[in-house]
Amino acid sequence: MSYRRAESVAEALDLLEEPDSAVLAGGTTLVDLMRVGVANPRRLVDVSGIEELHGVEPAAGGWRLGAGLTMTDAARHPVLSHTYPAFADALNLAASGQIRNQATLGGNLLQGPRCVFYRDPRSACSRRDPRDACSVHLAERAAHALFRDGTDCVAPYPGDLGVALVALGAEVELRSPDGVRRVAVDRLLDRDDPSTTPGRGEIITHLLIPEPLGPSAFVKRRERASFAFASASAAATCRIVDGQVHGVTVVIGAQSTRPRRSAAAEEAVTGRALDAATARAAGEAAVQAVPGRAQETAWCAATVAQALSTVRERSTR
Amino acid sequence: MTDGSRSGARIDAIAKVTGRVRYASDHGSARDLHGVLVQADAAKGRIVRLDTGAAEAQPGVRLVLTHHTIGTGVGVGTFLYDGGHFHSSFAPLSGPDVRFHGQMIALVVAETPEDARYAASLITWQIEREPALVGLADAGRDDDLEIYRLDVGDSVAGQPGTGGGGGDFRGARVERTYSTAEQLHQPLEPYATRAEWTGGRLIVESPSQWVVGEARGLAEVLGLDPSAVRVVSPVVGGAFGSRVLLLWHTVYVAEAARRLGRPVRLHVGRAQMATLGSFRAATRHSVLVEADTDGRVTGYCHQVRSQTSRSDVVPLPGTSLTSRIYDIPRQHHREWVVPRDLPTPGFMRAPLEYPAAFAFESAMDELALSLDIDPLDLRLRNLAAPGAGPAPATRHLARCLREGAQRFGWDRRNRSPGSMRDAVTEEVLGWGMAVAHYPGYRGGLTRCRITATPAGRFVVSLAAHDPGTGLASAVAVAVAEALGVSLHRVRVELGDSDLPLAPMAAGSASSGTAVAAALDAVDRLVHSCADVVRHPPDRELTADGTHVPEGYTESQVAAALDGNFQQSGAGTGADFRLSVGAHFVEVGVDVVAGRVRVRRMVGAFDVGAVLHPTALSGQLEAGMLWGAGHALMEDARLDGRAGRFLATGLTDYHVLVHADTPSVDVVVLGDRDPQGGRVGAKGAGELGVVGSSAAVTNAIHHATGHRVRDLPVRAEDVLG
Repeated sequence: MSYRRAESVAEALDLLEEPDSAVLAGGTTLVDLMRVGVANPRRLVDVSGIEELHGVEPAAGGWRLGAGLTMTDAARHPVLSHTYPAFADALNLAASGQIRNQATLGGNLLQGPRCVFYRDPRSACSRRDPRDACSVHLAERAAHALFRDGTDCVAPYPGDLGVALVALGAEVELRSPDGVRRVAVDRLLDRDDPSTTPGRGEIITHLLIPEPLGPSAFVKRRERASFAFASASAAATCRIVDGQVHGVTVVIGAQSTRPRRSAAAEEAVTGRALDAATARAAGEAAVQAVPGRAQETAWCAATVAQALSTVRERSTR
Repeated sequence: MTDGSRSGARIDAIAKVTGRVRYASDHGSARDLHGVLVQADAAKGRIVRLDTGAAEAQPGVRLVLTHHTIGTGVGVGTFLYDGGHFHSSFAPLSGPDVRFHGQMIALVVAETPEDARYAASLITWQIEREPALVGLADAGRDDDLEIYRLDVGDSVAGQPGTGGGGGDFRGARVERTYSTAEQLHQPLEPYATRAEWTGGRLIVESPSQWVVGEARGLAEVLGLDPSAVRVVSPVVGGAFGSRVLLLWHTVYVAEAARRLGRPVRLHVGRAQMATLGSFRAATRHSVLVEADTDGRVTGYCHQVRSQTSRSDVVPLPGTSLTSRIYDIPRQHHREWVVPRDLPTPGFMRAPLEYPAAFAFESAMDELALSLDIDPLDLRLRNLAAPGAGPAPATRHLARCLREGAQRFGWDRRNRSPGSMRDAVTEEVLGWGMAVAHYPGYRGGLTRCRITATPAGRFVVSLAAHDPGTGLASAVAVAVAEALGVSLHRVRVELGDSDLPLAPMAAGSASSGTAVAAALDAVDRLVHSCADVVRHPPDRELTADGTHVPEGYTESQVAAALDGNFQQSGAGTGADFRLSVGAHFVEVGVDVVAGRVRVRRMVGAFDVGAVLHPTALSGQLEAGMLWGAGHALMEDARLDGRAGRFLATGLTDYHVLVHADTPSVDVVVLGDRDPQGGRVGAKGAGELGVVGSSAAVTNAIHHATGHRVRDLPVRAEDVLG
């Protein structure tokens, strides 16, 4: 295995031409997966020193951020946290301070599932190898994710940032030797569509967050008060005109293999005044399609309601 | 730090928080070879193929130890309960048998850790799998082995096994099942071993709670004279019972070093640790308690099942202890262990007491509710009368209950569930309480040497251990006070089997016995040279002290001197020594989100004399918090189908983090134990965790009306 440090995006793309190369940024996911033997790249291309990947600049009413920014630096940016509160919420509630100091925005988005079997190369895993059967016990499969995406995998997307970015309508800029393309974060995290996941030799260079719809929020439930993946999360943003919701995005996290936008929840608040009752109704609408599982759906609904209530509080500040 | 004062920080505090301490993994030389373990991926079966050729062919690889190559150098290891020093009688490389998932099947030794790790990844194998049983509930009870029974007084109507119903009983009766999950010790310092053969001796460095026992066990299994083995463990980064016994990877590292003629070191990974040593077995309890209309408990039946391994029987009966503090005329207890395809479970802080206390103190709370009596009052009404139980302990327990309640403000509690709220956070509040108890074991034979140096210093040496319990600080302060010198003139040397004999750090008895032996050494030093404090000797002057615990027999002395485990018990009848305490807990529950937060904990304890207040309150506070973590999150997540623990690393096996940590108030009565000899201390280290989880779940019931009987609590248990 070789390790190469790139000084520019162009050099990184050159180095990535080698088969079985992997982009190394903060390393908090990749090195972990290499340690357990799930990732086995032949060449690591370290992009952490590329200056271009660390910028923050206004762009088209929104902001363009370098994908190499650490989570800590991004969360501390005063304008970003003011403009996109859900973005700052998601960063601040993720992992631990040490990990946030090391992990980057681009790497965070692409983190792997936390399923024990996925992370154990000696266990069968349909996510790593579609020919395998999933090792998660049948009885436990249901407990993994409330919503199924038509894939065999039941390991929920573990990230927080991705949930907030989908709600904010963010895109990533992907660069390859063929040029630059933009992909919505929503599509980026859709594993069923290879056309929107980064291909071989492609790098996420930037995040593009559009002009905010209005105030936003990300909330997270977890087993302990810090350093734990979400058992439920939600992000929301609204434009409120004359006390009524005119445009809203609601995204549910930690309950499917990617952040899941809830049209039902959005519909429940659109055209209405956003108050505790409509927030609750939106939460209930979000889980209406899920049969049974009253308790898990209850806290998923509560998380959605809490995200909308937080948006409402922020809109009156 | 105040010189010579008991109120200062632990003597090792600065070195620890500034990172100056050197742990076993920090030692080593350029000559060291490096080991990496390979572990089985099946819970039960037989290795039919194990291919190490590619690994052995790698540059830098010096040895691959497997059941094919182990040869005859490693003998039989004897399990603790069979009179030996081993965590398990099952030597994992002794043959092709696989008895649990994560069992060691190979040790690769190479020039660098990278070489070893890469070579380990090239080993392939095939295990002919057999169906495995791991969970307690996974099958019938044909294999259950009874490990304890107690029958006092008449049978209790409706008790399990009598077939009868409750009859026309008037009063209150609670009959429930409770359970606790499999748990891991998770000390911060992982297992690590370095073995070197030098000068005709084997020197092993490894974090340990029993250097003498490990040395003795190594000598036995490697066919050496006991004097030819030295185990060194000056610093231990947490233990909680995980390091009390000799683990097999230590043996194989020593064997590899012997064959290769070079030192070998092994750093065990966090996830690997889960199955190389012991764990806290899951327990299932069936409890029946009944009381008359005056709230006098008249009957108590407690049945417990817990896992053991296929290789060893680990009997850890705890119901006899819950029964000692209350005066209950009719009692019937049965405990069984259930062999399962798991590593041998073992000692984790308060191994006997924690599970039984959770079940019983929960049942007492349910009983209080059905009698419509305050749970504190129910305890006070039923404390054993003098002469009926351990009288001094129950007298102290009444004080703990009252002082703790006062400190907590228990009299402001509205007994009705869901009736108390925090107006600001909108949390529903719950207040719960429970009793803590731990036997006052008298510990083992302890020796100690004190050396007065020409520089005017005093070096205290013994083969004891300080895995964070404060033993070194307690000894240093006691010696400084006895000599009348400032603390900086005293140095304490521990954790070396070549030092004067000390027992396993177990049973919350080691600090007391170490201080007793050290004080005896001081007496002898002063006796031989009265002026030793003011006039340092021209040459080093030593004196040897000894502490023989009360009740220790001649044969026990002989066995202890031979390096075996010999602990003097807590006494019998009215002379039974018991440390006691009372927990009071406030939780805040967000019933919409299903989130429980422990907001406040008060613990009042009687542990006899206080040896070192800072270390003591640290032990008690951490124990209380650990109990809260046991209640709320700790679970190794045993998967019945895969036959393995799913949560082994710190990311998945959740322990409390600082953000979960509430304000904790510890009150210590501090009266000397009249039965405690010159030192007057009783056990303290393990007391704090006992009952703490029940206080938390009792508080959750008070907040929500939901009774949590299976730990850990899940969000759905508390949703409104």
